[in-house]
Amino acid sequence: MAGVLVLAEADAGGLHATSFELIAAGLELAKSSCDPLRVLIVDPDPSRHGAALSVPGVEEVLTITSPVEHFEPHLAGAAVRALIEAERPHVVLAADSAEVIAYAPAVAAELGLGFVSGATAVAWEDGGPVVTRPVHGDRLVAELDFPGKRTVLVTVRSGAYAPVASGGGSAVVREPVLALDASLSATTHLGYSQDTGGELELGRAPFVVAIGRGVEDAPGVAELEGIARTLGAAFSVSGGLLDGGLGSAARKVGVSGKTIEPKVYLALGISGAPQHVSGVRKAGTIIAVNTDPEAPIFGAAHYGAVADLFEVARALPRYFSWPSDS
Amino acid sequence: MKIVVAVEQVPDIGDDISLAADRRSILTEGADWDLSYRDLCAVEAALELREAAGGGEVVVVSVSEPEARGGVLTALALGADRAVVVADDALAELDDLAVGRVLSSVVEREAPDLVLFGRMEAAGVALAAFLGLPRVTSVRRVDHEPGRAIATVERALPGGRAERIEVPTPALITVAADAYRPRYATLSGIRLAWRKPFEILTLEETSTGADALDAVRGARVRALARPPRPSGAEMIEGSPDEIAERIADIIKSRVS
Repeated sequence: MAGVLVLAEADAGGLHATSFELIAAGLELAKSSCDPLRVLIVDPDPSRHGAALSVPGVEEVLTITSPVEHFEPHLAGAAVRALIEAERPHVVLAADSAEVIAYAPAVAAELGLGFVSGATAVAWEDGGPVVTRPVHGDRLVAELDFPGKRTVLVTVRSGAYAPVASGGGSAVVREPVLALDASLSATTHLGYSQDTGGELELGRAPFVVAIGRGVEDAPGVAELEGIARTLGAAFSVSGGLLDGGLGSAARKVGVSGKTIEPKVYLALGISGAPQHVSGVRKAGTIIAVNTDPEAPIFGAAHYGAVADLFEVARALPRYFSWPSDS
Repeated sequence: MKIVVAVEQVPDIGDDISLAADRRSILTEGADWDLSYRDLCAVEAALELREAAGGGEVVVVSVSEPEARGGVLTALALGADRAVVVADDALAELDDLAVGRVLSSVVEREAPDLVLFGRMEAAGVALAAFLGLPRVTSVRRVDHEPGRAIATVERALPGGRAERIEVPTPALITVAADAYRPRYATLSGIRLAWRKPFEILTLEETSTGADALDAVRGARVRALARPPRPSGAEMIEGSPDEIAERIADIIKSRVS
């Protein structure tokens, strides 16, 4: 059997939103390659997701019952590997998530598959997949092909495809017979621990206020850091400001700094050098305030305002009663 | 305790990237090479493990173009004991699986207790598969007592939570992007780095033949291009106060 296989993901909170983006990518690919589209879900109780994953155009939903409650990469890898060997798909699409990256490269290495992570587009050309992937800090895009590979495993960045609506299709739900048991785990789950608290960590903050060269002195940095704290945001500085000796390197974002994925990234006085923008590309919403209407950041942001950053920042707290506080 | 930490040397090429004539790679002549923040975290994790054990060896390994040195020298300046770099012109634009395969031969020779990766996470997971090592990714803390055949790690989860995991050693561990606070190199550390053992291997000197590498290669770069210009932001007009009100509405609708 050939076809396109989408690896859906779920946790205690339900199916991941990215799974429906992958189905959108899979539907496009299945159409141009004239291949059937299947969706796999590995979960302690996978049948509960069957109806939602049955989107129009999906031929089959394959369910594999995980013998353990928590994610274990060797077990997940064994399930996906066995399914790829049984179904022999042309293309396997997975999310570019921490869980997938913990097993997908190993499955590709073990089975000799084509492999690329972080794709933004997957097309079908001349009987094989062609993948687009940003490289060199998103300053270039690479077009990749996979000569001699029968199966290609691709992880797709979140946001690259608009998600399809869940359910509404007539897919067959099937549980393939796989010998999967807990002994395939190579690690031992000891439990979960909560965060130790303290300062909101940049890498995990949902809302980040970032400042750039538009802030010229240390009192300005301190004032904006205070406003960020009032708003419940983590605080970050751009490389340009760091080069001027303001701010700590741990808070730098960009190619040789960090990549962060907050829900909202408020960029104040940041020009938007490409290596900085690449560090925040995965932010859900980027809002930029800059006095220069030609600043490149406006090309990468979702919302922009040409204004004095201090005037806007000082006005912000007034409008910031959170729903839970009011 | 012996720890191998694998790093990727990143060219500091600024905004003006020049493509090679075949448009499949970039020109890096004269570039400074450095480490990403995530790789600095992985180096820091290795150094702290050695310090907690009261001794041992940290070996920094990399796959690079022949002229790249700066990133590996940084790791040595921070405290790594020696370096092994596979440097070969044939290694430009290697994909994750091929990098994992090349480094697996170095790791196999070194036979460490732990292998740490940062930025090259996918290559690390592939390496673990080639060597049959157990693996844990996205780790924010590693603890390993010398002589014990088990390491205890915390895998970072969204929302500041973590999963505590035991993994038998030798193991492959990828360090999360924000996991450690990298130290700064001292002047004496930088001076000392130049005198530390720096071994350079060609592809032929590893146990990976060019044919084996071609077989394992997961993808081929057909072409590089500049990305299309983004469509641009929706502009908010008005007084600073009106702009602030609109921005606050947008933020509150997305973060709650």
